[in-house]
Amino acid sequence: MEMVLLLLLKSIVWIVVLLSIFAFLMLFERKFLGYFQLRLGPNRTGPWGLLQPVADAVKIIIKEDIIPREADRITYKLAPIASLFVALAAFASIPVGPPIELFGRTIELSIVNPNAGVLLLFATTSLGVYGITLGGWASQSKYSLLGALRSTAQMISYELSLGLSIIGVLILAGSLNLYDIVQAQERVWFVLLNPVGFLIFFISMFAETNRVPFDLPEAETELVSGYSTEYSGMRFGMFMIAEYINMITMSALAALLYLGGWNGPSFLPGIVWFALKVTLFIFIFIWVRATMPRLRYDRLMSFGWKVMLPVALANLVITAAAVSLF
Amino acid sequence: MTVTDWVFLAIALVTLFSAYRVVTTHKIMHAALWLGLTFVGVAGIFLLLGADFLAAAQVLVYVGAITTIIIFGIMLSSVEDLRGESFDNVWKRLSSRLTSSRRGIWPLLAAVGLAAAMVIVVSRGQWPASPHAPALDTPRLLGEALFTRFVIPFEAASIVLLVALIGAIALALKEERTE
Amino acid sequence: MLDQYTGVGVFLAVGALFVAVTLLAGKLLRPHNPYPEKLATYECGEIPVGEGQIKFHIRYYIFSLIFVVFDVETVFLYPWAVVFEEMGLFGFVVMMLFIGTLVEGLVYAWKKGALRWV
Repeated sequence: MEMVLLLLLKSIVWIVVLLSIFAFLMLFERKFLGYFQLRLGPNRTGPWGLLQPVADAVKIIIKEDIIPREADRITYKLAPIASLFVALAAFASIPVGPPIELFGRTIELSIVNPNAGVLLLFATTSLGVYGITLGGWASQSKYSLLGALRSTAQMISYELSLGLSIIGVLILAGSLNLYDIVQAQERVWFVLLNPVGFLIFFISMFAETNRVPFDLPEAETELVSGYSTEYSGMRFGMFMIAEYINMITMSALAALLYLGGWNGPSFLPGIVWFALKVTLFIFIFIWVRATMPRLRYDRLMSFGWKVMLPVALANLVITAAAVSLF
Repeated sequence: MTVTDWVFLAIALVTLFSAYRVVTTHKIMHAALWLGLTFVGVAGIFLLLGADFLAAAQVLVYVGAITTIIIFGIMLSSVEDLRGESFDNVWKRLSSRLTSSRRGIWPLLAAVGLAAAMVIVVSRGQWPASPHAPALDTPRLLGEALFTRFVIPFEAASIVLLVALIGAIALALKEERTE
Repeated sequence: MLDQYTGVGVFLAVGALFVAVTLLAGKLLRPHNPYPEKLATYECGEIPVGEGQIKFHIRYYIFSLIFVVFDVETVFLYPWAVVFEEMGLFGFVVMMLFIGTLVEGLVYAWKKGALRWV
């Protein structure tokens, strides 16, 4: 019973923190994009634009909910909820710090700690395609369907290189449990031992979250807004929340698997190191968006299958060979 | 009834209901979605049995990949093929089904016979519970078993996958060429 | 084992509560004023031409087929990575055979043009 209370408390804290990070992430993205483009971002609402998330939230909630006439109503309503749920569920197995001692008991800083943690994480992220596919199909609009199909095909192609790139890390760590993987990096981080794997993971991260340079499925100049064209108000908001939470999850995964998680010199607690590393990756997401052009779709797909997949396989073969020799 | 029993009941009901909706819904896209939910239910049952790796693999392969294939296949078919016939009255629908031999009486008898056979086998069989508690470190145990006792089936699985890949590509490319 | 996963259930329940609350708040606060032009599908300001379905190209289907095969291969690779240390050379050779067979499949798909997008 007290375990359920603890889980409830953790869940509420996690969701509140996640949503606050999301809210301010939207603001920081717009501000930093502005600075990169030599202009100020939002700065009217509150000092430095800090009340912009509040304004955005109010706007999204009070917007009219327009459901297109031809839309498949049940699937249309289901898609953004599915997207959001999957994004949240993926974040449930991510530990944000080492187990802490509070009131005499050790509390793990993650909602669940399954033994096959990494696999569960990839299973839930692979469900992310459904929100997009169903949203695009249910809208019964050509733009939405095209955007959704392209996004789905892109995500499944890069899921392979994502999954294969971390096998090098798993060989080095010898476990699928995220806590064990972080512990195995106490002396040296895996980014140094497996740099090619990190590079593949890093590139696939952008493709999985539909971010630049892989954001053709939702590029405004190409497909209006891709799968979310016909969505408005809170349903669109849920798609956006899901996308940003996916971004946060991927950054957290990169920090855990390659950058040593919460390991760092002990003048700062583990959680702070972890937060710094995740912030670094999120900043890189925004930086890349401001800097790089987007890939044409056929080049994107051929890159994913003809370059990333063979390189990921080669990386795991070489890592295995190297580990067995030393 | 323990908590586990209640959870099992909930998951089993969800799975059965989804499977029922797969065959009874009129819109084929909804049938694919209900199928996805059935797969998720099965993964839940694997979790209850302590097979967390298998549950994750089930979600990853079945829900993540195979349901996507099914949905893409549905989108590939033309719009006219997608709607089944629908009668307004349940009784009219039932009577038309029962009188048609292909869709009515023989499948019904076959299904009832199969259900009866399964009930008899399940109730008469001995189902000894394993004396061991469910294992905790499933990936490691699975890996050890896969590479010591089951190496040959493992390599055979790779051949099967290769054959499936080649067959799928050959069939799909033939379709593309006739387009 | 079960208590591990009740956490996800609780977490999703709290998430569901949040979603329900915001949707409800929206329902109470927003206007509801549908008229035909508003409900029509968006086609850059023009009246939509044709149905909502596009000509679905078979290459989407081909890519998802190839994806399934490699997804299953990835699922086999995870337990191998975990027991790699113990299995030594034998484990390495066994998995190289497995990967090699599937790389053959990838090369076949490549040469046959199944991986071409255009």
